[in-house]
Amino acid sequence: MSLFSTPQALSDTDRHQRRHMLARLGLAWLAMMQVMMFAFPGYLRHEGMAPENLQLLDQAIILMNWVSLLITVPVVLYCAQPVWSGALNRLAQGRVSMDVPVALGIAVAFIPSVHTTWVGVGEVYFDSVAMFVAFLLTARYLELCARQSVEAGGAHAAIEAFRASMSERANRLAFWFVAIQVALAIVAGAVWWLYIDPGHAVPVMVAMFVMSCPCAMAMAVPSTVSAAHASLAARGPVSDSDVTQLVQVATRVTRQNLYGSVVWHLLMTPLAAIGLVSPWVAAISMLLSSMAVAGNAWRMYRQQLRTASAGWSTTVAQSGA
Amino acid sequence: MTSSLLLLIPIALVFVILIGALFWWAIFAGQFDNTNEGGESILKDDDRPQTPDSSSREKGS
Repeated sequence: MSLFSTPQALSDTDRHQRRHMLARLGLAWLAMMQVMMFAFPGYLRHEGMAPENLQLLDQAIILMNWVSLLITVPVVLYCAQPVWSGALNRLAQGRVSMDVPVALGIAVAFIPSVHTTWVGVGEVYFDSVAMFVAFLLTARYLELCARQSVEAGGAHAAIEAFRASMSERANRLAFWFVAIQVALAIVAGAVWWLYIDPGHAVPVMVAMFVMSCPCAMAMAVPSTVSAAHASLAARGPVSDSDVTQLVQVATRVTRQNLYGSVVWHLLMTPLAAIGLVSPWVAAISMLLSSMAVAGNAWRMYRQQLRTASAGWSTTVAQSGA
Repeated sequence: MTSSLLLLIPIALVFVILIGALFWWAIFAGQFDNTNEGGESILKDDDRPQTPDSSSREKGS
């Protein structure tokens, strides 16, 4: 039974929700690839080019920025819709969830890019926005599939309890992280503007905004939860002590992911503040940290499968003896 | 160069919108609901040896 085939006993609303999530995910990936392609000329541009080439390239870049904007608007409005509604719901309740920093991250990368496109001068980060949304939706879709494919039971309840407690911690951490990063970005931008070099103020600020996207942190809990569910589904019936052990391993991996991504961002922030990290390097660093988080969850899943099959073969050997 | 871009980019955009719309339709038509179904269907064939009676009926129908 594949993780991606819809379970038979699923209510109509769940089935509909799953189809919508898949549509959001697929369209986000489609848009991401298109926007990355249209962003490519922007990365080729440098001041050492011949003036007439530079002029021609700038014209092309302006055109491509508008097309990127056109493709990114549905990503932000439709694909990222669960993020907006989640953030608004939680804020209305006076609480903070992972959606709030994520929404903030999307907004601080998207709005300056719209302004840049309108003015026609500067760099745009539509590719970062689309990438962020696509990766985040991938993690959430995997989590949804894993959750729906596991029937309710003791093990399932234990993992849900683990998810709730870990999410709480991750949400608080990500909220303070983003709040501090945004404040630092504004301070660094102001310092560059007033004292160092006004021309560099905006790139420095945007690089720090891009790095304030808690992409890796937002993926930390969902990716581990889906790995835990998937390994449970692959193992068949398990004992209580196996579940306790699985939750312990999942907690450790989630902590590694959360604190690892915070440390990575903390290392990059001073470099960005002194102007060594250009915004596209910041976007790639964000991508790498998300990949590392996903890879760590995948490693945990493989490890669990190996332990399970080792345990199974010893049982068989013992019963054979 | 700009004039060719003005032609090619809208074509690319039309393709993206077309593919997105087709994908959307495929999802809500249920094509991705069970991706194993097609592969499993060959295992669910009726493999009982056919009697001359049933084969003649199949030919007839």
